[in-house]
Amino acid sequence: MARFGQQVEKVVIVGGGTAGWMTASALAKLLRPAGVSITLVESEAIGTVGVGEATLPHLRFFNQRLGIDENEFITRTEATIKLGIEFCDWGRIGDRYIHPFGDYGRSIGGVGFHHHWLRAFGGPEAQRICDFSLPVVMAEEGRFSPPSDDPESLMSTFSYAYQMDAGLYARFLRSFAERHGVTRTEGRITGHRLDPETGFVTGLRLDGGREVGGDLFVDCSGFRGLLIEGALGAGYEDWSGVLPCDRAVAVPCESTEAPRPYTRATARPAGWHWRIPLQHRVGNGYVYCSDHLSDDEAASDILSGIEGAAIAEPRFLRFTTGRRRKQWSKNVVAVGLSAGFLEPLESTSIYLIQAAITQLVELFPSDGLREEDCAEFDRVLNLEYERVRDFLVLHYHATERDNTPFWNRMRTLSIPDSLAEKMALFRERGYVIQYKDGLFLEPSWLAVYLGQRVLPKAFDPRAVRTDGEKTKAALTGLATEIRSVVNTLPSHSAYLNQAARVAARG
Amino acid sequence: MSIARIAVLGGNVEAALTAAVLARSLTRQTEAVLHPEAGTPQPEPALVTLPSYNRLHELLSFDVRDVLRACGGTLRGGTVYRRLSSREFTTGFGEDLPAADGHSFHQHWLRLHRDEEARLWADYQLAARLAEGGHMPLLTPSQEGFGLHLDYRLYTDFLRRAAVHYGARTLDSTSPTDGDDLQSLDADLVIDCSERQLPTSDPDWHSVPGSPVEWKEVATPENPSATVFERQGKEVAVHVPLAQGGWVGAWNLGAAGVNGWSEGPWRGKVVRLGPAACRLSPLAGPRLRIAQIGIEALLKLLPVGGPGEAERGEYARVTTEGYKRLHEHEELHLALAGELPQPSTDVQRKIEQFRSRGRVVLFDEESYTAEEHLAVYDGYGVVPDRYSKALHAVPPGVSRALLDKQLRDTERKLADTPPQKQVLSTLHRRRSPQERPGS
Ligand SMILES: Cc1cc2nc3c(=O)[nH]c(=O)nc-3n(C[C@H](O)[C@H](O)[C@H](O)COP(=O)(O)OP(=O)(O)OC[C@H]3O[C@@H](n4cnc5c(N)ncnc54)[C@H](O)[C@@H]3O)c2cc1C
Repeated sequence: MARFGQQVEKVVIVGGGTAGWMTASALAKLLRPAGVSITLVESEAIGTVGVGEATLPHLRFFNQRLGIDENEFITRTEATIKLGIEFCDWGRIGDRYIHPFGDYGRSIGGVGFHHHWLRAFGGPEAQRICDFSLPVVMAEEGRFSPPSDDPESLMSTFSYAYQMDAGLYARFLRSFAERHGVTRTEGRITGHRLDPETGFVTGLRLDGGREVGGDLFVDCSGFRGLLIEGALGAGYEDWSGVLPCDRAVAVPCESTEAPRPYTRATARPAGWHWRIPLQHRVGNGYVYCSDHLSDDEAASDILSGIEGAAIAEPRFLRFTTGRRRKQWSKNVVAVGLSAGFLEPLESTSIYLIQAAITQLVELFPSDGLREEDCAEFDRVLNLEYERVRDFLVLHYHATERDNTPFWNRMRTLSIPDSLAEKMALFRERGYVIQYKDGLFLEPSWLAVYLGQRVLPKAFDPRAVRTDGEKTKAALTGLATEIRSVVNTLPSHSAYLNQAARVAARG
Repeated sequence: MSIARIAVLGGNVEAALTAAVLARSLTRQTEAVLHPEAGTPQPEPALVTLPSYNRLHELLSFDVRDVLRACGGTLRGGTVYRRLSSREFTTGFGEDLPAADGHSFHQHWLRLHRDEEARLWADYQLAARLAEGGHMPLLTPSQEGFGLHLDYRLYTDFLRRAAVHYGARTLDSTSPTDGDDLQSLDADLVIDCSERQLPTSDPDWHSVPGSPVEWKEVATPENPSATVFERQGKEVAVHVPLAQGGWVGAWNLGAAGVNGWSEGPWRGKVVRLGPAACRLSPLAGPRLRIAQIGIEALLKLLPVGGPGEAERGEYARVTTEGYKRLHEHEELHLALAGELPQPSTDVQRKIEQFRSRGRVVLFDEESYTAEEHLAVYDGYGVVPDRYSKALHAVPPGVSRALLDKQLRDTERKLADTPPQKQVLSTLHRRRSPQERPGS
């Protein structure tokens, strides 16, 4: 009888999308050798959400922890390098900026770089802050080489992620997980069994009358939340009040140019387009708000916006932004879309999957499930979701766009207090609130504030202690140095070719 | 720059520190004026710092050797706790311990510790061993990773001189008196560090139990490298060693009085800092840490001409969070010592998670590191029920080899490190040619 305190020896993963296979791979690598058996149930007939191609740098560490060879991964998932996201038309139509995975300059005399930049140049009109970011210049120039470990080197001031084919990644991880002992069961789940006394899930019913039993169930069944909601009714906290986009249409197309090492997010009349260049195709889509745009309008807008010929029919998706009220309830842990969804503007979903897996491994209830494990898991994940939410809302709220009802709504939206305080502090004095935990650090907030015309009225008064002329000259020198370093790097395509050659040599 | 004059009120160490840091951080267009006669200073004869405090010394361009020489100080490697738990234990200042096979040192330690194959956590930490044995490495200008013990009066004088050196002015004659309205002072910003207002009279004051500390001098402290907390019945004493002698402060666990912090520490142009903003028992944290929390928050939020609402809110958020976490550190000790049946929810969670699986929960604005928390749990004999399941896949030999090597390395370094008394006597003999702050 499943209950708190029960030993967990058999884990059942429900669903074989990115979340399911990432969970299976991590548990297989880290827990199976310790005697935990892992079964994954998926249904090819149902399929996966089929999107989720842009990632954050954390995925590299996930792959490394599993011992996955990077060149093989790049080749097998047709991945390209991602140095950041280019945002077009967000502050105003015609604006563009890159949110990079890396720093802007370095602090001087204990005072943040951007204060010195503000003092020296007064703002982006005179000199873009992007010119002080190595990954931005690399992205713009289409060049790449991995970062250096030497903290003194300019090449240590950035990180990178990937743009990959999500279907190929799931397949790649599936073969990894199966090699590491995961049992895959094909079948459609038609029901579940609950322990009548405790309400714990004890098994799944599959079509054809088969049953799969387990001690711990990881619900990776996507938006459906088959177990976390369907069986346990964990509840859903709806955040569409602040993030009202609720639909997406995806269309991949042929590439018409060498892949760029960055993702693009372009603001559109009722949402935004994504453009994710992979090695042999480009992923495109339109995330929009159904209050302001019909599906047909969205499809024709994205089809007219893509660069190459479409290679699949438009695929429509529906979602409600928010998070599950309990992400770990009884013996069910939700990972992936079943746990919540924040729109893909900053490519955070796969990161949130990874965060959940990390916590699950750390809190794995080997010697018995305990309520405190569930509470701790929820505490950590809730914080992650909330801090990402505020950052996403910032993109919509910090705009001067007033050309459509959607943008008028977003611009005048009542935002969470936590975000209002952050924005007020930045507007007043360029201060960026910092927390110990949370995904987006100071450079990310700076990128969006400054890229979307939230300019501080003042800078840190301590910045004036340095000699103004000398500081300005040093800053100009840094921008020149960044350009000259970037000019020595191989092109992004050359780097990918090299990765393929190394992978082929095995 | 919209502030021409900042008044810093207080005759205590916090006011001297604030004046020095402000004068050092701002241009000469802003005048820092120290009012040492304001309030009624309640000096503690000896002071203690955490390693993070070295950031302020770095900002002030102090060489720690000058500070030690001028302020009768010693280096602090950690804290020894006596009779709070069933055994004496030490918490050393954190250092990154090596990992193996993708698992942190602490997970390997937990695994062997549960089977009684590991030594105490502190045995693997160099700082703790140095603290216990009265050793200390030869000094470097910043002496990163260590705290200090300082003579209160000498250090306050040293800071006042530094403040003047960096351009602050001292004003004795027109200092505000206890009844004055600080908002009407002739300054753009008033930093109130004084002990003038009784906390309980303040509607923003968040009270927590506490009681006054009584100090007495001791001739020869046994160990210059550690702060020692010692319990005797319902009394706890803190022993602070100095270069010459030392001090013992004692207070009652029975909590006859009130401590706490202000939840509205910045009103109008008056900013509370140090004892005007927060008072906690020495077991929670040193008073210089309280001052540091306020100063570091203030420096980033100095007025720039706007309405200031956002700054005031952020100052309150950061400082009250920092004070609360310090207070919880005391709660943690008392709860583990069996003296606090109902600690706060966050402290309960910390204990619960460590008991459950050796997980160290840390929140925003913590003053103590994960390693220091671990040493506390271990010191009170909390043995986690389990350790990371993933580690079961790693042969126990890997864990043993990792711990053995760390122990050997620690012991080798310990053997190479001289007793602090020796280091200090050399230091005091060799006075630096420019023995003045900021040189
Ligand atoms: C428009 C859009 C764009 C996105 N872009 C990004 C991005 O760029 N970057 C990013 O990080 N994330 C992105 N995401 C999120 C990302 O796609 C998901 O986080 C990721 O794919 C994980 O999905 P999943 O595995 O949780 O769910 P799914 O892919 O939906 O997988 C669910 C699995 O459960 C199985 N299943 C469901 N019901 C049953 C049943 N009854 N019986 C048997 N099996 C069943 C399915 O067959 C499938 O295998 C995006 C999401 C959307 C909607």
